[in-house]
Amino acid sequence: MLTVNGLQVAHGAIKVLHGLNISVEQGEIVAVIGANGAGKSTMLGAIAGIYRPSGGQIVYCGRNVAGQPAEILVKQGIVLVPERRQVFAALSVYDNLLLGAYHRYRSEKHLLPAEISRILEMFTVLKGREKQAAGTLSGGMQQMLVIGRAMMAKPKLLLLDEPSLGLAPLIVREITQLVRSLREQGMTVIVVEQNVRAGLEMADRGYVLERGLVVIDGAAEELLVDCRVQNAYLGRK
Amino acid sequence: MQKKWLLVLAVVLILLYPYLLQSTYFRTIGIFIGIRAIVVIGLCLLMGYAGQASLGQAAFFALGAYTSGILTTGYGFSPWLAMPAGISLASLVALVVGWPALKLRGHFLALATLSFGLIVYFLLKQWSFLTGGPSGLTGIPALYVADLRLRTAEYYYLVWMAVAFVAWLSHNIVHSRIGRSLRAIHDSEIAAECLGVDTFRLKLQLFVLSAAYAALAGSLYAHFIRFFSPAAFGFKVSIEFAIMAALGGMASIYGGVLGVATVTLLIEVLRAVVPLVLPAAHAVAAIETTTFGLILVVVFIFLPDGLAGGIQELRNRFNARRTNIVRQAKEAKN
Repeated sequence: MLTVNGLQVAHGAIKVLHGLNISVEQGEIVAVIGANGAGKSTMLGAIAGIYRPSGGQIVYCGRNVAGQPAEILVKQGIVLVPERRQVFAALSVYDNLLLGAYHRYRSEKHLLPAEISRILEMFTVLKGREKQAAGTLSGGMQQMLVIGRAMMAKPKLLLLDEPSLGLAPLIVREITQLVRSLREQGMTVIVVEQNVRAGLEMADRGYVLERGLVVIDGAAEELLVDCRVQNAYLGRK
Repeated sequence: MQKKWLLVLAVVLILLYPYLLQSTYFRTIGIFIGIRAIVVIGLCLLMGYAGQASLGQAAFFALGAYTSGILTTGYGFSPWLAMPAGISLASLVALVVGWPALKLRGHFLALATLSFGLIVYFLLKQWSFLTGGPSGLTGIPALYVADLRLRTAEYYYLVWMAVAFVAWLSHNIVHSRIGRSLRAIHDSEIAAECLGVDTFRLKLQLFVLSAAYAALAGSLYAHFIRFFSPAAFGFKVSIEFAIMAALGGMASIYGGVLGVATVTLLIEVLRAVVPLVLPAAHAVAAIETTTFGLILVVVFIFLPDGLAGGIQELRNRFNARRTNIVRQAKEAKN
């Protein structure tokens, strides 16, 4: 579904990705893990059209989409949930969800209330809070809201940037289950995580990034017991 | 009190104002409040809803005024044609200036718009062949409808009709998909982009709209005052517009109007009172500047959502108290 070949991205004079290669099959959950500054979020931003690559290809469903803006890619089914949740704090939960369907608001306006109800059935913690300002929700609820908001865009490829950041272990477990359930709905997911265990536990495969390059890749279960991953990220010697 | 009734009260007050205060002085103040309100409503949309700081609104105000002035005095245009010409020119200039400027964020955008305002101000002073230079433009024709000349009372209603139109248009924008997107940009531009909102395009459209509002206000100003110089469009005027928006409440269209009324009346009071206490030549200007500074400090500390936010909070408290009293009465009855 997605093949990233030799992706290079720079923020000004600083080169962040130095020819990154990854591939994702339809219906897979792929975790990308690595330390701070490894280039994980930049990679997601480039795939989602937020950052313009300086080199390489991003082949999505057989077409090179590198450099296309986010508003085009969202219509094609690539949706990014940015890190630190980023709810629209002043807007209600309902309006946040409505904004998720921004690109199809005009053509499918009549369908949206039913879709929002469906999302609220899925994210039960948000039910009954439709009119509440999103900024007043707890961290876990906000994370649920931004995932629900992204689902309103009907993504084929969902990009999750640090969904467990700053959340209690119980909530992280809920998010893990939620991400797994997305696959059953036919979604492909790339999840970027600093919480290596959480990332790999929700994924089928994983990539380890260091200084803008993939250094290890393999099945998530294998990576969890890989001594290099354990030494570097899981605190075992 | 219901929001609807507050609005009705405000409309009745605006309609009766020229009859309640029949002197030309008070009617003129009413006209100035209306003209400035048009600019500030645009600024509220831009700053309060989209979160884009502009300190160059006086430049678009000037473009409207000078286009109207130059086309009518120099080229014999009808004021009713010169007005849309001014709006079109200001919109075009906003498009050209906004294209690079809106790629900047926060303080950089404020600095870019401030610089634009200064450039326009100096051009107005330097291009004497077109603008009359520091002496300004004179002999700008008054507005006529058929053969009826619009004097202060009629002009007052014309200006406030324009305010009503601008407020209605802005209200519709704010309560539409675009309005939701603007508030989304205000909260998190990246998150809005991730959902497919073309943030740059929306910001640019809004920048152009706010410039068009300012130019409309400028044209109305030109045909009312009929003489002006670049001093009416300097940096201080841009700052005054921003203060009016901040005081009224940037995330509220009606708050903007309230901010304009408060600051305009305050300026008039200062101009009347300060010379009685401090007869020095520049005392009024100094006190005005100090007062504006104080207003900003007080607003940022005590009324971060401006007067409109303060009124809303009072309403919420009043409603909560009323609900409490009703509940207690019911409990006592039981």
